[in-house]
Amino acid sequence: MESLFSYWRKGSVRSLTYQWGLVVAILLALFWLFDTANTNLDRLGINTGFDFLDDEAGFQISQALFPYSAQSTYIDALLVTFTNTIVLSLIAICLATFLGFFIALSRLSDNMLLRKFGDCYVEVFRNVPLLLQLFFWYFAALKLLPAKRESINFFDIAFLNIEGFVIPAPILEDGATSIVWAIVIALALAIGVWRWAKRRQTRTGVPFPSFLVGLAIVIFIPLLVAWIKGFPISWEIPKFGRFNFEGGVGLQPEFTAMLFGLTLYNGAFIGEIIRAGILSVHKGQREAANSIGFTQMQIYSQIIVPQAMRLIIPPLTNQYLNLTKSTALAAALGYPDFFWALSGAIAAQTGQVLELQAITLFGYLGISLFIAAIMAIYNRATRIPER
Amino acid sequence: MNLGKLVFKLSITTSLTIAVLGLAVSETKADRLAEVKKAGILHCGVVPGVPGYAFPNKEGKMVGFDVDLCKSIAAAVLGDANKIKTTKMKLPVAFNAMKAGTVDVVTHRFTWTFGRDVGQGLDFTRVMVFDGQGFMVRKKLGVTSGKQLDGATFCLTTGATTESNVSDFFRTHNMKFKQVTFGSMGEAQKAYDQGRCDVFVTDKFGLGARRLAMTNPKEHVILPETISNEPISPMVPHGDQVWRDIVVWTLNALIAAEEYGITQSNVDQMSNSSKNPFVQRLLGKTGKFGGKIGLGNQWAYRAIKAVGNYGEIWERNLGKDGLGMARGKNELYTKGGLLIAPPFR
Repeated sequence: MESLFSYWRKGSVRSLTYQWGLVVAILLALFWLFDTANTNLDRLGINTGFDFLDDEAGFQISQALFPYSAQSTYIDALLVTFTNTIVLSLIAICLATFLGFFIALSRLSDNMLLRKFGDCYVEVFRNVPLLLQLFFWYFAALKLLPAKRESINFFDIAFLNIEGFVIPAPILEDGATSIVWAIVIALALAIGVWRWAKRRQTRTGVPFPSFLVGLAIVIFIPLLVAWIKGFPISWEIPKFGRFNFEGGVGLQPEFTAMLFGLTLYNGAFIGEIIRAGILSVHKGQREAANSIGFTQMQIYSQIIVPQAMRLIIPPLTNQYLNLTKSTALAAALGYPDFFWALSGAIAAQTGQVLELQAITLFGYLGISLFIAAIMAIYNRATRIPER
Repeated sequence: MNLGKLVFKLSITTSLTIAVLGLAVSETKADRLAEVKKAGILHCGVVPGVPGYAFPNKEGKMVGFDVDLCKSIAAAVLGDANKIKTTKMKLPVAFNAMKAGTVDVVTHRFTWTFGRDVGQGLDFTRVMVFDGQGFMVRKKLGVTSGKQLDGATFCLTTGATTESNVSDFFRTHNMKFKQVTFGSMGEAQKAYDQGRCDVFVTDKFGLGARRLAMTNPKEHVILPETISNEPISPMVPHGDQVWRDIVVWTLNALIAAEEYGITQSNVDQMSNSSKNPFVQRLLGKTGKFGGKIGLGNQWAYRAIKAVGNYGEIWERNLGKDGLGMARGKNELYTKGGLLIAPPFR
């Protein structure tokens, strides 16, 4: 008894007991909730499980990046809409970051006009609810776009009207895969050149125009391969049918409005995050760089941005995750995103609301964790080494 | 982020999901009649803002077909048609509310389908509106039939039977179409009105109301085809047969009242002087029908007194005093329609 008591007095033993006790209590509570849910579902005669996902979906999706029809299954519908969400999020993230950077620079500018513009922009766009902005852009776009029979014609190959912007669709013929490989190889080469130039500059201090050279490589190598193969791509030009253009690839107003709205709204927040990061770099550094003859461009790219990054990345990650989750508002504008499929058509047809909510949760969780992981890797790569 | 962290986060989220699901399906009320009487208020799910069905009037009170059905049940059960609380519900919400048992009846105009009735924790009661879906297009397109719509773009809403109906119609006729699916009717209608789509689809009775809301109603026509059969019925949570009986027979009473010529204004007189044994049983003069469903003999009298018979409810909301729609299939069987109430005997 005496020995047991002295054992208990050991701090580590006591805290471990408490911790494991808590874990067991939480598990029991979860089990109880799970059991209650199951019992009640049984008693109400509600079908559970994910078998319904193999059934035919029976509805169309206006934007599908891979083949999909009303005869496809619910799983296909989920994959198509999941891709749509990812595409929308990634493009909006890129554009909003660019925009944010310019907003930050203009708010920090010495030019009063530019500075005031930045101030106004941020105040307007971050203070109006996003859904309202999305509706505004969507219905403004519909108002401005010409009717179907009055399309704006771009050289008889591309057309703009209220159903969107249609351009010719590329149809790949034999030998087209070699061009894809050429692009991959060219990209790898360009990255190689960039790394070599960077290493050489660190060693010898001699700069090299790696961006221009890389761009030339990425453009000319695929072109050369295409020329050798005799341009194995033909184009399907959109033609006006009974109601609208058929064929070609289209950019629909729903997608464009979503992209526009998300970019402008999140650009304001990202601008503030970047501004805070830039301001965190002591002004002495800028003055020192100025004094040794750095250009403004060099000051930003070599001195300020690398140091600002470690402050920018964590809140920027938050903003990216916010943006990604707010794509769920797309359902209101008729853009078929992941949430659109889950909350609307599939729930209405199958009634498997609980299962669909679980899928929604894990879908968004997956995207969010992926983005967070990428940002964490980037954060580690750019952080200032500490000794 | 390392793998361990990822697993940790995933497991935390899984646990939370299970917890939330557990709470969503809480214990449903075993004796709903007693619960409703105790609470003194009837909770109804209604359609979110459709004129004629459920819409706030000038005084801000909800009125419409959905609301009147709710009132009739409240009058029968609680003796006061105003003791209702209406909640606007879209479809997934309504399903969840039924499962969780937070509403007593959903009078929202939902189509009765196999998939919705079976295995969803809810029961449909009886068909109150026979509807079907149809197309609206612009007159200047010169389209006279749905079969000429090959290649057209449709504006419609998600969460209804519409999507599969359109897709089935086009598959049957081997035609192609494009669709833009909106989260709510308002946006779909606005987008169609601005010319985003060639065709607007919804239930035909809804289509009539929607056409009036267009910038220029005269520009649009409703095509003759009815592409689907949409029997619309109120729903109750599954598992309480007593409560289901109450709702079904209150709705039946409204239809029977029209058949026997009982109206809101003459119900007292009919109750005192009618020699028709059906009327006497319905209004509680003879027999003990009310007692058998636990409501007292005057339950049907109270419902009719509160909102009138089916015909009066129709005319007030959907007919000549409302949306101006013809009864069509929603006439009594005695006048060539489909509405029939099982006999009160």
